[in-house]
Order: sequence, then C-alpha cells, then structure tokens
Amino acid sequence: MTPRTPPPGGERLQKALTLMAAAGLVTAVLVPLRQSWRPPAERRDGFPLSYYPMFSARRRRTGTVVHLLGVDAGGESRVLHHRHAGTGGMNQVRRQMNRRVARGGAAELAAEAARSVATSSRPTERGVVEVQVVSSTHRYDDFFAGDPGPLRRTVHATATVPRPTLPAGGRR
Amino acid sequence: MSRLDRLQRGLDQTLLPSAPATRPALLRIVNGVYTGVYLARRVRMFRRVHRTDPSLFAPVGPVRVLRRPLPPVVADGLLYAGLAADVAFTAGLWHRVTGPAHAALLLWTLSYRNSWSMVFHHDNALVLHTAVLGCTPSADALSVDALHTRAPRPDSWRYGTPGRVMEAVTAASYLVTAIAKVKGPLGWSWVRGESLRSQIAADALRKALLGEQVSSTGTRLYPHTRVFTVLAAGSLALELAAPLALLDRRLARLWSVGVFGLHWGIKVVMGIRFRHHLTGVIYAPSFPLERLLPLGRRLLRRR
Repeated sequence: MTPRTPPPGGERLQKALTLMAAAGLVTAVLVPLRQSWRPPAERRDGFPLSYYPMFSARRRRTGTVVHLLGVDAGGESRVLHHRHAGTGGMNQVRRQMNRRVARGGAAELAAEAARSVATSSRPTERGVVEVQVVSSTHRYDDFFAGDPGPLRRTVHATATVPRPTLPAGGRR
Repeated sequence: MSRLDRLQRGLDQTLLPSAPATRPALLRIVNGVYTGVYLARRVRMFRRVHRTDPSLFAPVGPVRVLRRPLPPVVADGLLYAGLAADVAFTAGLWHRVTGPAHAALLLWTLSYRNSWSMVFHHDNALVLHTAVLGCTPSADALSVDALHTRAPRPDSWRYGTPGRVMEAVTAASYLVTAIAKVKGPLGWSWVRGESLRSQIAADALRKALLGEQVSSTGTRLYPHTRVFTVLAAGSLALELAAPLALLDRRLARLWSVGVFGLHWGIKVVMGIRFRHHLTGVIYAPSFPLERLLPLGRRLLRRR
C-alpha cells in the first residue's frame, strides 16, 4: 500500500497514492451494499466483502430446521449432534444438510449419519438403533414457552445404525 | 500559512497521522499471534473441511477461480504454508515478501474454508486488517528485519496510516451491517427489536435441534420484547455511528469500547463467539499500543 522508500521530493505523491489505496479498500468494503438494493433472489454474498445477508433476511414467527433424530429400540427419539452430518461447525453443517436434502440426498445423509453414530462412544447415543433426517417446524413463542414439540415434522429418510452383531454370549 | 496549507495540514493529521514505528509493529504482532492461534487450533477441522463432499463446494471470494475443489493435499499444503507465513509475518522476517504472502494465503485459506455452503463473516475484518499490515511497513520495529537495519526510525505518517486504514475498514463494515438492517423488509422499524428477537429465536432453535448448547440468557429474555427494542436501537446506533468515530481519537476509543461491549452482549444472549471482536484484536488500531512498551520493559527488567 505504501511504497517503502520515498523518491526524492515525492512525499506528496506518496501520500496521495496511499490515500487512493486506502479509499479503494474502504470503497471495496462498501461496494457489497448494492446487493441490498437488488431483488432478494439475485443477491450474492462474498468473502471477505459481504452485504451481511443475515440482517436483511425476512423473519417469521416459525422456524424450520433440517436435523437428525436418533431413535432407540423403545421408539423414543432424541436430537443428534450435527457432527454426525458433517464438519466445519454448526452453521456450515446446517447449510450443507439443507442443500443435500433439497437435492434428494437425504437417504445418503441418513446412512452416513448412522455410520457415524455407530462409532460414537457417548452413552446417550449407544442405544440409538435408527437415524432419521427430518425437517421440524416450531413456533418460536411455543418453543420458548417450554414446548419442545414441533408444529409439524417431515421425515426425509431413515437409516439403521450398523451395530456389529455379537456372537452368542459375547459382551460388548 | 495559507488557508489551503492549513486545510492540507488538518487533513494530514486526520487521515495520515504521525506515529512511531512501534505502533504498526505491535498491531502486526497482535494480529499475527491471533491468526496463528486461530488457525493452529483448527488445523484438524480445516483438513476435514478440505475433504467434504465436492458436490457441496460453493466457492466464494478468490476461490471463485476454481470450478471444483482442490485435491485435499494441495488445500492442506496451502493451509500449512499460511501458518508458516503467519510465523514469519509475526516475527517480522523478510516482511516485504512474507507480509503480502501471509495476507494472500490467509485470504485464500479462509475463503476456501468458507466455500462449503457457509460464509463466516466474522473473519472479514481479520483478512482485511492482515492485508493492510502485510502491505505496509509494519515490520520496521520489533521485528527480525529491524535487528539487521538498526537505523533510527523517526515518527512518520507511514506508521500512523496502517492503523487509520484498519479503523476505516472496520467502520465501513459496521456501516454496511447497519444499512443491511434498514434496507431489509422491516426498514427503520428494525429498531423495534422484533427482527432481532426472531433472529435470536431462530439461532436458539437451530442450536437446540442440532445438538448445541442454547444460551439460557436468550431464552429468559425472549418474552421481554422491550429488552430487544433497547438492544436493537443500541446496536443500530453504534453501527451507524461507526464513520463518525473516525473523526476524533477519543470518540474512536469510546466507540470501540461500545462495540466491544455489544459483542460480549451477543455472546451472553445468543452464545455466539465472534473471537476477533471478543478478544478486542479488531479494535486494537484505535489505541496507542506502543504506550504499553515501557511498562512491558519494566516488567521484564524486574524478572
């Protein structure tokens, strides 16, 4: 950005060049603002120059999340951790699950998650016999009032957890 | 002194303030250490990301030059090169080469990490600040390079400018977030807090259904809509005021303390950790860090 060795008598020029470079960088940070004036379908986010789409998203009273459920032998279901569905942190995995389900890849996702659950040493996951990929819709007011039940739930795919079969009398 | 000269002098002091060589040097060290820790702690996660299903590849930033993902080994290699460049950048070794190289590799590494369906916006400022420090004389003091030259380094606008540009970049990004809010479907009524409340609710619901810990503070605050009005109004005011903070040094420090508090508030209410902001590293350019050096030297002598 700043030339390191000033040419003789060229400090003014150097300052002008520095100011131009700085103005260019700040302008680049501001340029994504034009996305906010585009129709939502045409907006495109970037990195490291962003228009921060999470702040201009339309918010509703209900929320739908694609996630994993683990079902035990008694038919009880519980939420499974997102690490069984992918890597890179919760929000990255969440987006990836949305894309996979939208593209018809729910069965493959369920099978991968079931294989991951099979290797889990967590006591709460040892009894899981089946993994479901579901979309759950909750009303926020109900959810925060302590009602954990969804307004509606769609099961996209299920997969059996591949547990090793043990010989008779064997111990796990 | 003519009016034009006075105007030029005033502009110089505001836009290109004079500073000692130690100021950008300390910013370089703080930024470099933060980046090194940030990347080193995530090497395993980055390597796993490099091996994600190629069908989920959605390139952003400079990674848009790729049509398909890199072979994982190449992506790993660039990550390790980035870590090595960060060490050289932090130490101020061959800064003319390692400074821009580190900035370019960090931009690539984080863009590549963000090219798998989710952009992590909290890294924007880190990349831009590193670009500023990597391409300016931030290793003329407190560096391996400086050990070789030993030439006196008088205060100069060249050392005050990097911090000033970093502040401007930070202010511009906060202004973009403010405009995104008021340009959204709610317009200026975003300030009522309903949208913020719904955003917090959506985040908590995702966490609950994806197996993460939900912030108990956010859950407790949810029924109190007025609290969200105060939070929304406060955050929007701070973001809109960001460019004003560039006009005065004390105002800039006050603003930095305000947004630092805002991010800690977000952590408490939403459980979201914007580490670059929570550590204060992003706001360091607003403070004369070099004044801490004599204190550090005194402490070292006592040992």
